[in-house]
Amino acid sequence: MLAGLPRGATKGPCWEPEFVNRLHQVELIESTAVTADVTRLVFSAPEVAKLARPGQFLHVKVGGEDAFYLRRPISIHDVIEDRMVLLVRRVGYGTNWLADRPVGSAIDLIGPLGTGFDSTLAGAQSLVVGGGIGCGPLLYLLRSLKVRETPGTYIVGGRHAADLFSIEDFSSVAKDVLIATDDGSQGHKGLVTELLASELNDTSRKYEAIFACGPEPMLKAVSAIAAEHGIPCEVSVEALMACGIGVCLSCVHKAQVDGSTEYVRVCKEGPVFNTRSLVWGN
Amino acid sequence: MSVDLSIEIAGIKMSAPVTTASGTFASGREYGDFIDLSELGAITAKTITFEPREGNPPPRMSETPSGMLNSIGLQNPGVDEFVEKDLPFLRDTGVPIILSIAGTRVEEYAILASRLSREEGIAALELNISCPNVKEGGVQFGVSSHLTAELVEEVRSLTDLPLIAKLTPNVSSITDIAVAAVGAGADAISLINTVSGMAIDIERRIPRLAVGSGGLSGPAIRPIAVKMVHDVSKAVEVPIIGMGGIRTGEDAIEFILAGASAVAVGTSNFSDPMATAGVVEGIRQYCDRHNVSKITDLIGDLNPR
Repeated sequence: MLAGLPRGATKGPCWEPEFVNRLHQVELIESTAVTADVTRLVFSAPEVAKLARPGQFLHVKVGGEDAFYLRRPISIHDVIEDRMVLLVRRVGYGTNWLADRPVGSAIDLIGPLGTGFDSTLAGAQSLVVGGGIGCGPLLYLLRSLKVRETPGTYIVGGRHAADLFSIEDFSSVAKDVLIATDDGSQGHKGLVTELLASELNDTSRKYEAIFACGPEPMLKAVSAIAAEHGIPCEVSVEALMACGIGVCLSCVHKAQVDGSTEYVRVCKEGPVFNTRSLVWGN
Repeated sequence: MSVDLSIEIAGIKMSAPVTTASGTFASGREYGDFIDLSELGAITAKTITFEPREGNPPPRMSETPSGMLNSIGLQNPGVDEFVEKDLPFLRDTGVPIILSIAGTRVEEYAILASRLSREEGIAALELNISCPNVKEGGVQFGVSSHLTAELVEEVRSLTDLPLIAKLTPNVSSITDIAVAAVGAGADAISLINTVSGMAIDIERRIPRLAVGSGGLSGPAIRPIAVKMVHDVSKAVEVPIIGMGGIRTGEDAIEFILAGASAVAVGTSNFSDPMATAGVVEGIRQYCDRHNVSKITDLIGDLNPR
């Protein structure tokens, strides 16, 4: 597209010694519908895979060369050797366009971006809580916890059994998987936060950290439960983003910084925040 | 043939007629990971105010057809922190630095201009009198010829730095404002800032932006910007920096033919972090293709129909 500057180069014409061009053209090598509206995409992306940390995201170009669309920020679902796995829920033009790409397509993306989970918080026992498409970043987190030999317990919630996905993948890396559905079609009938609370009330287990991703009301509830039990908690929040690299200040969330409240960037200081610093609401 | 892309605007020596639109490039640090910043003609940094500003509550952004609406609200750390943390980086890029300033009162622009005049390595000040997203972000000046003139005149008396007035399209006659700014001592005009707009979430029946409305940018506004650049270039003698939805060298050429001496790349940076470098390269290729030896030959070189 542009002359003179190689795409995906890891070294380039810049005075910054740590210069890393995170713009990549990668090949889509697998595309599978995992539920009625969620598609699992696998890319061959060795340069990205080498750097990716749990909780980070990729900023994916949609709509082809001629159309003008903003990129779509999508959490890294998993990293398998030199392959990147994303889960895309069809919510609008951009996500439909991505989910409809034929295998073999070249996809333009920036990443990995953002601040991910701090898996060193986990200690011996941790809880990983997901709701809806918010399960996305948690598989790679659980995989990294397993690699650290501190596997986490996965608690997942959805509306119906049919909305749950990749449970087998999660089972392969989690110590235990607990399921809640709104209609009781699988596991506990009710909210994922009810399962979380009862797990924490079981005094035989000493959990040292909670990690969560899902809709904001769920994250707020998880954060309150964590505070009640005095357990460190990290959550991955969602925000509408334009640049994805910390420039435009579109995606901000309110947080405590050095004793005062200010808007911080979800794309840069986040998307994962310790709930100790996060301020809910506007 | 090697085309001469250099241009001088209000004393700013630019190696290429391309800068960045304020607020879309921060202070350039992030984009230094994607492009060689020294290839830009100038860097225009995000607007600074005297005191830190928190900005507007989120959501601050909504994508719209071929563009986006934003209501960031001039979030910035204030002039002192900017001078300490960002100005040294900008200076080190080696390209001319244009600093965008805004305030609620004439005195605030004046104090910013005086403060920044003491700093090394600033090529020009851009007076943001056109931000639609804060009640008192300068746009009260930019919609009035009288207040524009008063503001520019006051700042002019306090600094020797070249002054660029950045104009809003949300007026009945942008040429009147441009003429007033130039009459009061503006050395150049930049246009356009975002077009006032609104988007509604019909499922929840609420505005998509927390503050209700915002500023529209991106390719959707390009024809509006091209016409305004064309009209203003007929009305004033000073150079014009044109902007509004520029993605490619071809888009930039459109502005230059309409009368702009240089262009700024804005929203396109967000979708393509190499957009600025691409625009410079695209201009070069156009000139090669059309046997243009100096970019200055193209300014306003529009054939009649």
